[in-house]
Amino acid sequence: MALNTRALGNVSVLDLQGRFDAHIAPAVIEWYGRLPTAQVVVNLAGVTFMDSSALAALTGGMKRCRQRGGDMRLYALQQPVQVIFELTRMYRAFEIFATEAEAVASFTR
Amino acid sequence: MERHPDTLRLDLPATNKYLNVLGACLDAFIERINGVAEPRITAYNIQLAVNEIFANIVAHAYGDAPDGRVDVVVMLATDPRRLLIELSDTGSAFDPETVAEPDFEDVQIHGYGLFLARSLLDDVTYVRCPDGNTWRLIKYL
Repeated sequence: MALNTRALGNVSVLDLQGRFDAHIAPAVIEWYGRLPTAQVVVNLAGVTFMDSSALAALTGGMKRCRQRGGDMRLYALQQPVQVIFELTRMYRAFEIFATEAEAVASFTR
Repeated sequence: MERHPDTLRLDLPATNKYLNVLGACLDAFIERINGVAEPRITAYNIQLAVNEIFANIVAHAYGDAPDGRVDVVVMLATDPRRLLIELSDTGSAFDPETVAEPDFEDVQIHGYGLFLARSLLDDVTYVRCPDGNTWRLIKYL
């Protein structure tokens, strides 16, 4: 799993690559603690697998951002990964976009 | 479980570090089975379900203690064709009856693991044995 962060103005972008599971989730949660902003976009284009611990890491991060007046938005979910969002109905909790531009622009709506 | 010659057996350390190894083995095992409908999706969903049970064992049976082991047996049975997967550990007992169904009206962070396994497989059975726990999973193919 590769984890990279970028800043686009006031938005923090987290690029995740590979397998996002219970082994990786703690590193992502730790990353939230270092965020300079509560406006976060997570790039899931390269994520090939996600389990419930990964989903918990995203959900916890989203709640944390909202408590701080921001939000966490997702983009580019690949087809296999969508199953966990569908079964848990978490697609209703997150704002999910097709592209990074749409996800970042959503903070200026 | 009656052992077929092609039965796969893994003896894994009870740590989430090996989830990728378990997942890769399951993928490769299922890839060898002919005529599976939507093989990539089927393999992914089975991998996700087994991942959830394994992570549940790590967290609850062993409480993240570093020295536990998980014995995983995977076999293809026939009539009807089905994948049988057993995960056994020597950790603490688990009572699946105490696990509540997720509340879909709430944005719940935890508590989806067993629900996902049950949703993605045809049967998920927990058995408390004298020396540990066994999870028996079935997916018809």
